[in-house]
Amino acid sequence: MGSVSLKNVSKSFGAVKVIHDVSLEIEEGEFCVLIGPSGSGKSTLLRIIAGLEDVSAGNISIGDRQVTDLPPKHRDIAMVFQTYALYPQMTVRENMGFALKLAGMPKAEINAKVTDVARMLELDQLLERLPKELSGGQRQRVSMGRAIVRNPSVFLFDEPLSNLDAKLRVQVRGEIADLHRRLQTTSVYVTHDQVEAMTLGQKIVVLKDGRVEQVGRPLELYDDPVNTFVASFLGTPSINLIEADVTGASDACAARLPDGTEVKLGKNNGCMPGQKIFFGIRPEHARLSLEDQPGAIRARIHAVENTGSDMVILNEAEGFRITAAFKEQRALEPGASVSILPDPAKIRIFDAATGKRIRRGEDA
Amino acid sequence: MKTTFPQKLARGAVYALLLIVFCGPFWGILATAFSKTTVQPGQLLIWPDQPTFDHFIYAWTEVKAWIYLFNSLLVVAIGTVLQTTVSALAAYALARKKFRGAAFISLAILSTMMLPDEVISIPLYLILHQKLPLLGVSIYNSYAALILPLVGWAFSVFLLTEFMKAVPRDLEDAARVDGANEIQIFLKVIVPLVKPALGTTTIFGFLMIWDQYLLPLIAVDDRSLYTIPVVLRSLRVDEIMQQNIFIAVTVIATVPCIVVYLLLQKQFNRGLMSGAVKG
Ligand SMILES: Nc1ncnc2c1ncn2[C@@H]1O[C@H](COP(=O)(O)OP(=O)(O)OP(=O)(O)O)[C@@H](O)[C@H]1O
Ligand SMILES: [Mg+2]
Repeated sequence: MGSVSLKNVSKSFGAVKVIHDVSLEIEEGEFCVLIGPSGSGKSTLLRIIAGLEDVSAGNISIGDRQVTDLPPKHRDIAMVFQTYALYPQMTVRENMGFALKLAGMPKAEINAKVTDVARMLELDQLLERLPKELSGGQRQRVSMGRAIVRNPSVFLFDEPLSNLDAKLRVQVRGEIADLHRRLQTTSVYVTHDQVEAMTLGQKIVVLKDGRVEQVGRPLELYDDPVNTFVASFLGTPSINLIEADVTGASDACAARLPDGTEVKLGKNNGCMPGQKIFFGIRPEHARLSLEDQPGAIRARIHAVENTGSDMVILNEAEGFRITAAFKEQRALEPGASVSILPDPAKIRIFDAATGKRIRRGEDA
Repeated sequence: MKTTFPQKLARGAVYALLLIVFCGPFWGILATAFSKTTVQPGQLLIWPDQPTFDHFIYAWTEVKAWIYLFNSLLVVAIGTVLQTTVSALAAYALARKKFRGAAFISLAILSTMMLPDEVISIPLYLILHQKLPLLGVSIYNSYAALILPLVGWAFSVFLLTEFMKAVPRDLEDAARVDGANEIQIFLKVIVPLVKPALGTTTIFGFLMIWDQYLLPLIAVDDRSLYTIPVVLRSLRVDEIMQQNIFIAVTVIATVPCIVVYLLLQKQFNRGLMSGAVKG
């Protein structure tokens, strides 16, 4: 049984409260990603689940067991650290078998398990080496192997890829996904990389200042963010948020952008005329064309970033900037005049004062 | 780089000088201890004259150097083990555990390094005479009196504390998640990683205990509990004792130090080196 449940968990270090009343349900077998900016409390929350930090208030259960007051070793969890935390004086084999040895498992059985997992992770040639004789990627793999050998009900990962170079990171990311498909072990994975979060997570938890901003499936958060923080945290290049005024009648509002362009928000968009909002449109939902289009935003290309697979166009309109992105290759030069047409179905608007999403049919 | 002949010569001369300065006295002691020719206090032979074991035999049987050698070895063996154990445990607590008054305790330990032995000798004498609660006896005039005052040594506590602070916390957390208890974390994660430093503190501790002179003087009364340094002192002022015999006892006293150094040489050098690199 490997579900994880946090109920109203708070944590203070001395007088400083760093986790505020977090409640979270992670299903058995689910891959849950905790994401947030530096200092948002991701590691602290993970260490609380591990039992390495105690809570100031609240309850934690793993499976159907209350573990709030249990030490790490009785929680049936394994953890992969950002620094890998391999014991320098032990060989790969000893590192991987350490937990089993402490648990009093017979030597032959430990050896069999370690060999099994080592083969699975292609570490079988390295078993007699010391950590200092391994590359960064191999060390990372050993630290995962050390967790897998124990066959815990929950895996905890704290930014396990952040010390790898970009290419290896993508590779190991894929391996972690494969591993999860194969083992189906509940996993809690901390990262501040939104690509990792979007590709690995079945559930993403966005944290900010020790509070949960939103929980959901990756595309849910991407398409349906509850506030400007979540909207701009996920997605690269990040969402355009443009200050705007709401005009028109309440059943047919439009957003007036700083350059005077009015973009229709459709019927019953939940906003009130005169309200100040952030007009949000993701770069990939902003259609860019070289011809004049009625109702489009007039802008000038400021810079072109071409990664080969994506083109990102940074544009300057009167009084604001707006980014557009698309897959196809087009001949575009800085300085050119363009018109930009946001996809009406993809426009998201947020209250300018609170940053909260304004939804259809809701009162502002 | 090519070295010219004069450079080689100069270097050789410096080495020779160092050799004479450091090994000369030692050579003189050996030459004198093994020679029949007797010398006056303050004199050493440069060349052995009429080689003999007589002085050693006399030192062993008549002076009964073996008693004092045994005392010294016993004190140094138990003392070093206890001292290293206590230092390592204290260092772990100071390096890692948060507890009330940690800063004060740290300061208290540090302050013991600032007091010369002579200053604490009278209070120590009085304490050694105190009757222990429950048992109703004092440890004065026993092996315990020779050993216990040396068990806490600020130098090794602080050296080990610094090394233990450098052990990454993640390692401890990893061990904790792996199911290790506090003792196992200490023995299987911390201790192996500070081994070079432990080698250093063990050797320094050994020498510190071996060289104790003032403590045995105030801790015991019985001549049969004397350690080598105390006996050497009493032989030195002994008018009738031949100088060569005194020197033979000196040689006997030196042997264990050399043996221990040779055994722990690798650890010792590594400990000094890593200390140097860490700064
Ligand atoms: N042992 C501690 N004592 C005091 N404050 C702490 C301690 N550990 C963490 N904090 C504080 O708690 C907050 C959250 O820290 P945490 O390490 O969980 O952030 P994070 O989201 O993991 O950040 P990063 O992405 O940089 O790793 C920070 O403000 C940090 O300063
Ligand atoms: Mg962190």
